[in-house]
Amino acid sequence: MDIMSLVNKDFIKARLKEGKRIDGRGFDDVRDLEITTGLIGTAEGSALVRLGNTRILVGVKLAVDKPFPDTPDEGILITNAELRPAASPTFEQGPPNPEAIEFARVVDRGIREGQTIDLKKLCIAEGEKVWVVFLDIHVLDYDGNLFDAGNYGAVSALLTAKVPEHEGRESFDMPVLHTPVSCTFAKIDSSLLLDPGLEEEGVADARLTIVFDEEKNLRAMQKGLDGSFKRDEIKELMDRASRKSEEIRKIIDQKVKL
Amino acid sequence: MNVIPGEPVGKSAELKAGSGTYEDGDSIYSALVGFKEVRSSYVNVVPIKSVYIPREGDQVIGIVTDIDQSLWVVDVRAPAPSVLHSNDTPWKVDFGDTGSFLTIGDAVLARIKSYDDIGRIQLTMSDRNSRKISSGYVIEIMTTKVAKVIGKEGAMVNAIKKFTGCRIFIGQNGRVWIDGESDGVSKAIMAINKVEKEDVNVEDVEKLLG
Amino acid sequence: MMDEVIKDFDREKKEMKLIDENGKRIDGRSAEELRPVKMKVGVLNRADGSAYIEWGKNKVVAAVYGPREAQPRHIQNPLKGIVQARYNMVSFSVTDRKRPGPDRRSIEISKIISEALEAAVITESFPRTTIDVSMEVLQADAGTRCAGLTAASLALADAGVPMKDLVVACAAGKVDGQVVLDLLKEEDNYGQADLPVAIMPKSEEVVLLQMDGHLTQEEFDRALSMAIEGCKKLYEMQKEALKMSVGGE
Repeated sequence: MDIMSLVNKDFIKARLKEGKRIDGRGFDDVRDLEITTGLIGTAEGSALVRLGNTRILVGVKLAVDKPFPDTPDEGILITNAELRPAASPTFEQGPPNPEAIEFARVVDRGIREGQTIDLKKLCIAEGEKVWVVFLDIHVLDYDGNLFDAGNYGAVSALLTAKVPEHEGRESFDMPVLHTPVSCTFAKIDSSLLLDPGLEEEGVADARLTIVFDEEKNLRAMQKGLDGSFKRDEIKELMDRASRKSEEIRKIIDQKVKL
Repeated sequence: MNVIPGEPVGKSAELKAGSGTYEDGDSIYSALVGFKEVRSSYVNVVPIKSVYIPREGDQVIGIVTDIDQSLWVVDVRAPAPSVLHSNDTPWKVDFGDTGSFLTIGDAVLARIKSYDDIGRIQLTMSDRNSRKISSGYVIEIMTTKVAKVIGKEGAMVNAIKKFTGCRIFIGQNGRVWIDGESDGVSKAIMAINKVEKEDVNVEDVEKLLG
Repeated sequence: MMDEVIKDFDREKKEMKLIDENGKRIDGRSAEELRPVKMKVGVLNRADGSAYIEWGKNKVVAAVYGPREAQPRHIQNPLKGIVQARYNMVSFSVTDRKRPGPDRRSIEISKIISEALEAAVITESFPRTTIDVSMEVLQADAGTRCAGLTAASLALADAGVPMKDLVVACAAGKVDGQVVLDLLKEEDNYGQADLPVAIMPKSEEVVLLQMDGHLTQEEFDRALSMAIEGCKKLYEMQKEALKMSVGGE
């Protein structure tokens, strides 16, 4: 854990009681969000996301393989996340730990259940050959709220990805159906904060990630940490996420289309 | 003049190798990215960025990271954790009772008692200024910017204190403790971050806070 | 099936001319020319020091943490600090996705880069500590260990880690029977030899040297001189990148 959060815990909490966040943001304010796509030529799609001082590079690679027996006419999505030691003094060398695996799975769920990719269009020969989409999330600089940055990066990389040509079939744009957008809140005492920064994460009792599609349907959720939420808090966060996800989707659309 | 590691900064016949330099053959070279400065007969390189290197007597802000029966392990942002022994505090601490005085995550104002050749650091709190920090907010700045935030004869930090109504203590290890009304603390944090990163003088800061 | 493929590949190799009749390479360079290189110091927020390098199509970011307490304790040296470098290729940095995590190649490269950097870092100042250096290859096109090491040395300088000198690396090799500087991917794949070299530029002492392929002793001498000349050019760029980071203060 970040030791500065421990030291400053009482002040952060006292400030929240006055309705103020430590960096001056409102409870529903997202930090500055920058997205740059297409920086990595070896990837079929890529996006560099900066959310405050958190920086994540997402790459999309495609490969041809056999489909799973229960989905013979669908492509395959595989999501992986790496919390490399370059990104934080607390990240260690080694295979993905439970935090990295949870992170990858929550991003994966948003993309998969949000039907971001039209997997049926990634079938080459039913039962024999399909495209495998590898979605690799690489954290470069960790300053809190990986889940949302990972989601924005994954969506942006997929929206700009190309399926390469294969045995005479021409290259085509990644078939995207929906753009699910993630909103993560930290609960500190009774305050519920969108897009928690590193120090806020360090003090948080509980965390809730909510992923909405553009029709305001829920596509994925994840509660984390050892605290708890009341039912009306969950309801409140649902409303707030539904509103904010629309705003954030507009930002993503704008950045990706440029 | 700014220099980088391996650049010559003087001749051994004329100068002595000071901090941030090393001697090789008849020349002295920089070991750091920084500014060359000659003081009396020494040539030094003042680094742009540096890990905190403890010096005996430095006033620092430490954070307790572990507790033992008769000592605390304290992070002072140095290359090694430091040790605060219960004898080196103003309190009478019974063996095994360390946790009721300081616990993990507590911050303290303390002094560097020693930093030996094999990298061990000892702290002491047996002086009037040392104390446990139990309110306010602690931020970290670059150790090489401590002098800038303090300002000439304290002019910078005094201006920030005056306009925010806060008490501010700047440790040599680049940790700054700010205590006071919460709005004032928030303003002081903003001002200190600005002084650390940007090219601002006392008047700019007064305008910013005034 | 398999032997068909091998024959095909052999034919492709023979047909692929890497140097044309005018002595130009496939990207238009002459034998002794480096690919375009850009360097920037201080690119990450969290790390104590960092640097980014673009070298041809290679893109590598390096981050430094420390000196800090070496863990577990048995790796500590009571007389000096240690340098632990980690070279990692991001899964999407290559044409065929690389499985994440260390493999034998990256472990070997990490080891020789650690040793090369340790030669320059004044480790005696920080007993029992570790200086952790991460190199993340974001996009690869041959020469990533040289790019990584060159960036790593900038990141160390940026972190304020005391060093006797910077470390700078460059490869030379043999392509179509000719000794050339700084091989790109096709030249590395189909050439006859690769010789990555790193030096401390002040003394020109060699701190990393590897060779694979086929070289006569005369060709080696020429390749080594060429690599060292390349290192010196890169050193000028390192200097400039560091002085830029200091700014006009």
